[in-house]
Amino acid sequence: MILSFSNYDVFHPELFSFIGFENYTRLIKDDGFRQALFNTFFFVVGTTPVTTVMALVLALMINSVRRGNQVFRSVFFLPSIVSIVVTASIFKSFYSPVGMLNRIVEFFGLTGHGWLVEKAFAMPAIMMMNVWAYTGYYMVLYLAALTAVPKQLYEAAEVDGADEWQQFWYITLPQIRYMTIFVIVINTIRSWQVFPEVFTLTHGGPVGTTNTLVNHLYETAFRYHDMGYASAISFVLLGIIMVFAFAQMRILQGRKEAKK
Amino acid sequence: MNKSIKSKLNFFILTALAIGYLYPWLYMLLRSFLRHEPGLSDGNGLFTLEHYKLIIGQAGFLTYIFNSFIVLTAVVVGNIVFSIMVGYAFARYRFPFKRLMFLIVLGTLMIPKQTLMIPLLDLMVRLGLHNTLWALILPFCVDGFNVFLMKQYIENLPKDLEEAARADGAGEWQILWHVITPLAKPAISVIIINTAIINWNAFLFPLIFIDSANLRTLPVALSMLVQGQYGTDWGALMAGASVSSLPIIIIFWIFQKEIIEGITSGALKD
Repeated sequence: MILSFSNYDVFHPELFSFIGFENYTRLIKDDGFRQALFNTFFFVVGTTPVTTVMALVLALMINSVRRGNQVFRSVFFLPSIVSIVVTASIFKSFYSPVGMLNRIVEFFGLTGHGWLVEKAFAMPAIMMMNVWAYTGYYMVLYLAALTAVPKQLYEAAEVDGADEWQQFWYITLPQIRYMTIFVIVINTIRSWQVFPEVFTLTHGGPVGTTNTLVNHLYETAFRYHDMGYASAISFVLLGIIMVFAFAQMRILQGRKEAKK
Repeated sequence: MNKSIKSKLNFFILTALAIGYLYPWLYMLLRSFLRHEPGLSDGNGLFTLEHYKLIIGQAGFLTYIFNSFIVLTAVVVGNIVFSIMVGYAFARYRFPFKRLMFLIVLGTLMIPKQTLMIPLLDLMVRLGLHNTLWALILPFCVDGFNVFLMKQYIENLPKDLEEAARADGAGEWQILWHVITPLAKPAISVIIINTAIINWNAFLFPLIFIDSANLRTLPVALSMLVQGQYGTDWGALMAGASVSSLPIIIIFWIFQKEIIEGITSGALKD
């Protein structure tokens, strides 16, 4: 906290000086920071809804098939427990100019791209990879929530002649609403912190188009050794995440009361 | 739509998606064993072990595996021991400021770890632990969430056994290790699973706490490999990725049910 009002480098503590709000006024004027804030926001808005919806769809589909549920569950879940750096290294190869994606694209008669080095494609490429890697995790949470929905509700609905869509809309969705909110919140919090894949694949480039908040924080602290300013950045991140964490706490409390 | 047709259609779509999910792992494995032949497109070539020789030998991955393993073991053991001790104290003892202290423990869960990177780095530098494996172990040996989980679990255990042991003259430590610990096995396995996965994949702190290349852990080493001189040597890269991920993939396939349950109950917190 104090650090964010100062000029500081942990490796040279003797250079400490107190500079008041200067770091924060600098934030407002800093284009790099604004770009990072925008990029991270774009990343969150672009991945969280997709992951959440896909996770629910996959969970529902897995529940509806008779055979192979366990296998499907494990296959989709696996990427989420393997280091994102491993995923990133595989996808780097897919995204490379001679990689898999370009071969598919060219097969359909379109022109290939250097997906990670072109400004327009780098961020979407990382977002795609992220959706691939983490959907299974939320799917597993949804599967747990779905098994908790009482079967009698569906039986009663069937007697009343509700079709499948109505059953989903009026039984499934309300029954799993706490899980949905929970998934959205933790997914959002995680997405605001996106870093290892960015660091591994692009270092925030090309020209800052994939620079995210934590990447910016890292660069400021460890490349420019401007730790006071970096602390100010981390306070902004903390503020953003606290809003969601607070929401999460309220929701969990709400769920406990609903259970009673 | 007829239910069984729909179920078959879903099965078909899921199978197609599953192939899309398995393909990258197969690619990783196959590519790591293939020598790239000039004139052939990527992914065609002869079987070779040279990528693994390069990764294990020259690129130093044996050291990184060892580092990762040391840190993982220490952190998992630390978390088991401390969460049992602290969890037991919160669950069974009365002491001043207990509620406040427990709120502080819960409060640590709210704060994203990234925002701690500079204060924690500062602490490590001052303690002289920066650039040692201790910096990756000590700060991560206690986790608020594991303490919380263990407290909840111990609270729900019947008190009879403890009281019987106490009547037989057992000391508090004996009760803790010989009565509570065996009963808390389900909670311990959840802690092991969650801690091990998070720690094996940890990236940010190993990146900033370690400067020397020979003290790096696997994810950081792999990231450096991707960015470094072998960054477009796909065979070597995939060998590095395989070495980093195969242990966890194999363990996952053996214990998939337990792991998925552990992760789910871990995420849901109650």
